[in-house]
Amino acid sequence: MAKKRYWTYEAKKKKVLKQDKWVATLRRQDHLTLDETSEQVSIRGSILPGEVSGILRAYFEQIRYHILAGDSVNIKGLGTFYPKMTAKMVDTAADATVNNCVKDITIGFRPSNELKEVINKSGFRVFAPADNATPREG
Amino acid sequence: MDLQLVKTKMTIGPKKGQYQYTLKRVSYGNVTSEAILEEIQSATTFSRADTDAIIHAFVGVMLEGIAEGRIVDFGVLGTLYPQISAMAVDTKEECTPDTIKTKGILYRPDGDLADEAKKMKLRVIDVLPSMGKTPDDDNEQQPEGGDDNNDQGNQGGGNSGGGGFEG
Repeated sequence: MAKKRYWTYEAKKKKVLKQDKWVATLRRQDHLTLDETSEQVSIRGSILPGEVSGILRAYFEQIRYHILAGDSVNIKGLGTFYPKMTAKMVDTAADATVNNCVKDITIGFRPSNELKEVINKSGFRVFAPADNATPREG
Repeated sequence: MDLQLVKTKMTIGPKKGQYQYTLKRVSYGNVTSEAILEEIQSATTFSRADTDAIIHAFVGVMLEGIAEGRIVDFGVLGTLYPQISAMAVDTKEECTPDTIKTKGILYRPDGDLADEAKKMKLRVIDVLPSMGKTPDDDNEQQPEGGDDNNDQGNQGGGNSGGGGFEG
């Protein structure tokens, strides 16, 4: 049976409309870095982490190249990276030029159904510092 | 990046009922993970089966990381991080998982990638129904310039898009 995964949250005090309120906020954990990912992949595939890292970097570089060429790139199981443009409306077709319409270009990500399912299946648990932890004195 | 002219009849707002025009990105379909692997194949000493297995395992590790609420790093592409929105309540004790309204994932592109995206070459093309690209290099324009409040700055028109494969 698949192990149940959790997102950890903690209650934080915030000002909402000038009133003190409490809001559940995600507790940030350490990043899953590319080095750690490479290490974990290497364990599963009996390949050296450095070699995995090299392939992943080449893979990301190539995805980047395609995105900057205007393509959408789909990583199966994860989602799609694509160039995202915001443009404004103008009154006439003649006014619809790049300089008049294009406001911003950035990169977007659309999660796959698998990723959405993983997120939906994750539970929540409240952050609880270890009960036996001794408070720092001084 | 290719753009096309689109005409839209406004259904709300002060211009309701009038036609408005804008530019929209032309999509030629997705580049798949398999195609990317094919392209990088020549740069590795691994077999295609090995690289497939590595990417498959990589996706698995990423999904596990996200399932645990971790921020995951995609190198030159940027990071994905989990995000929730929750209702504000009066006491700490009321702050339970029931107050969490939505959960999802946010993508933050790497700084260099975001900068490069703003310098992308844009061209407006004519797209005929059921036909693909109609290249027209004379129409090539960049979003910078003019009197707009753009301060991205041109860097000499050099192609710094990396890579070097024809898609």
